[in-house]
Amino acid sequence: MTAFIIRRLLYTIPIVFGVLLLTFVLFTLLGGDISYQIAGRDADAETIAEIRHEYGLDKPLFVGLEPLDEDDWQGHKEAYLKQAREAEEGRLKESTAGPARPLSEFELEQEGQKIWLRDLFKERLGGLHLVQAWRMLDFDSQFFSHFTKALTFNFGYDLNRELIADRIRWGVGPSLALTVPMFIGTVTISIALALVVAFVRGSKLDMILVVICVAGMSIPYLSFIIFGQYFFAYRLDWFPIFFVPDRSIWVSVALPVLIGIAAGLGANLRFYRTVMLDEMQSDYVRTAFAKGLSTRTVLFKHVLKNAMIPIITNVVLSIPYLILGSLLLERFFGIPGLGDLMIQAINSRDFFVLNAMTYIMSLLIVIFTLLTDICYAWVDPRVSLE
Amino acid sequence: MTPSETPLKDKPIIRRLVGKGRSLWADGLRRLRKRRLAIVCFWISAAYFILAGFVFVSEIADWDNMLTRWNEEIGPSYQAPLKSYEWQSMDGQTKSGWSLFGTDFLGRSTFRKMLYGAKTSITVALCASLISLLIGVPLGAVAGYFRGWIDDLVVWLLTTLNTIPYILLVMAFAVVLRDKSLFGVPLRGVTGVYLAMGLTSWVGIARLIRGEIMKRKESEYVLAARAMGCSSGRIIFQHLLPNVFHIIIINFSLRFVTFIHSEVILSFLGLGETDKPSWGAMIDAARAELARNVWWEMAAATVAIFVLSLALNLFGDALRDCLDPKLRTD
Repeated sequence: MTAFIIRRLLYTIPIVFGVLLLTFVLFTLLGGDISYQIAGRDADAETIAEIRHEYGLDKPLFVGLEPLDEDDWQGHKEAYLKQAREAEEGRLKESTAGPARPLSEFELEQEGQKIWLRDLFKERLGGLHLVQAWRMLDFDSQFFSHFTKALTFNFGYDLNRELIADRIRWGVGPSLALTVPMFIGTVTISIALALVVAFVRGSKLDMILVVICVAGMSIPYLSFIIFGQYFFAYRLDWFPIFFVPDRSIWVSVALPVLIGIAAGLGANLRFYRTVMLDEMQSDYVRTAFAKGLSTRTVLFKHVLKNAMIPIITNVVLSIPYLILGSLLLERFFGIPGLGDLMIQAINSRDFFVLNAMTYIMSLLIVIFTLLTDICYAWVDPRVSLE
Repeated sequence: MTPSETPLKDKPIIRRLVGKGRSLWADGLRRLRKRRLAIVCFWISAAYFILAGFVFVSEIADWDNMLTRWNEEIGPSYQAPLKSYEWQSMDGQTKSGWSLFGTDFLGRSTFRKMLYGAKTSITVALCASLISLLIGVPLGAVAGYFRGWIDDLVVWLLTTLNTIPYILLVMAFAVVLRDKSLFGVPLRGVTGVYLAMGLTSWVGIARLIRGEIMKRKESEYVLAARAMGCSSGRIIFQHLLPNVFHIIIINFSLRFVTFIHSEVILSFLGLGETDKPSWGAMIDAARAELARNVWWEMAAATVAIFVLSLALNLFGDALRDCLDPKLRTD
């Protein structure tokens, strides 16, 4: 078991690495330099340079290597080559086991800077002349800092120079206030209805429920929200239209929760119905019926208990998404949660926030998947530990 | 066997015993034809596709018809459906008229915009599906067939992409791709949208295909093909993939709906089509309009999406039941 847990833990390393790699490619390589955008339309070169320095955009992209510019190279060329030649000769003298292969790469120190020389033709540096030189920057590259930032959870500042970590911390509460009741409501109602469906399976009522589910899934989410907000908040005035900061958060969250439950019910009921009906076909259910148990006993004592495994998996794996909040609901009702933060980040092309959010969400999903797997192995002896 | 001899399966006695064999597809289609609802759904979806195709062709061929003139002013702004009105057009004449689904802020016909929106949505969904199939199917097949390091690599990619919430990933791709261009084609509007959706959604189909190929690669027909000296590529693409093709079709029809709904959300976020009518933009416009009791633009777009997704959902379900009876639960 311990070995299994350790192996699963090790398995998460390449995945976290992959996520970081992907976010680097997306937000740094493809996203490009957004310093112009931060600086505004008519900023001068100095302001832009300052901003680039502030957000670390002036660092080299990958390994901390920076090509030497022409002046630097011409001024120090002789000194560099001399050092390289001396190093090469020293190495050749020391080698006792016959003539050593000539080196094509050298690391030198010059005026406190590390310089990296490479001969493109892989020949002796003294003989050939096509030499490339880079300044070494002690891992101080955007690629490296992307990883260190993520691993130390130090995401720095967003475009408005607020701490990203703070903004995320403030957003979690409102997001959870919205998503937790919504999730609990959806899951309880759909499990209850799924049990009803298991009672009446194959009948007209079952078919009608399935068609209603599919119909509910076919209505765009945005329409649910816009109509709900218009009808219940604007027309009937039962709920506030927009977030009210000075009243309890539950007042503002009530309508979005109801809309979220209504919109999510179709897909959820369909899922739980499949789970229940799968279970209804098992042999032990047939046995239970055959020995004369009532439908109710079979459903609640046998089927529901066994259906708990897929249900709990679904519930546990949904938890990270609860923290992400609901993008659209938060936007429409002005709830200052993480979903709203994301939309603001998209509208202002704030890649720093997007990057931090993507990483934290993925990390949560990795952790919860790991927990589910371990629980599975712990509960179900049939799960192979290999 | 000499050429003159009749093959065993054509001998009268065998034919009488066995009957004419039916392929998986013929069998599935026969079952499908018995379901009236599925057939209706199929024709409804087909109508949408024909409409989208018509708009597409008439735009390319520069035909002058109702739909290419979606931008035309047909009345005052915000006229309710079926209400007749008098208005002064641009050339100063007073005209009377009415419109089926009302007019929008600029006095354009909501009906025409709704019909035109079919093209935008279906283009996005179709291109996104094709991209995700083109990436997902070969990757899944190769990983499932060869296993080893290729499999490890593909599974790593799948898990990594799966670890990032889908909506976050699509948005990130869309926002990053928005002002880029690929081979000189700017990725503004729909191009960026379907690229983002296609590049992020191949995970599901790749995983399905990988599993199926792993299950089937030891079956007799594959062993027979291998024994006859078929190359791996031939086995994968000519023997294995045709046998899992129904999974691709089912996934395609169900995934299509998700893409249409995602387009609406991306449009709302300002990442979608901006200068042509789209259902997402119409629903987005309704936010400001509902407070003025202008409900028809949202209603038109919602109904258009609802009917198409309902038809595709029901048809996809029926298709799954008919082509893959093992997946049936009831």
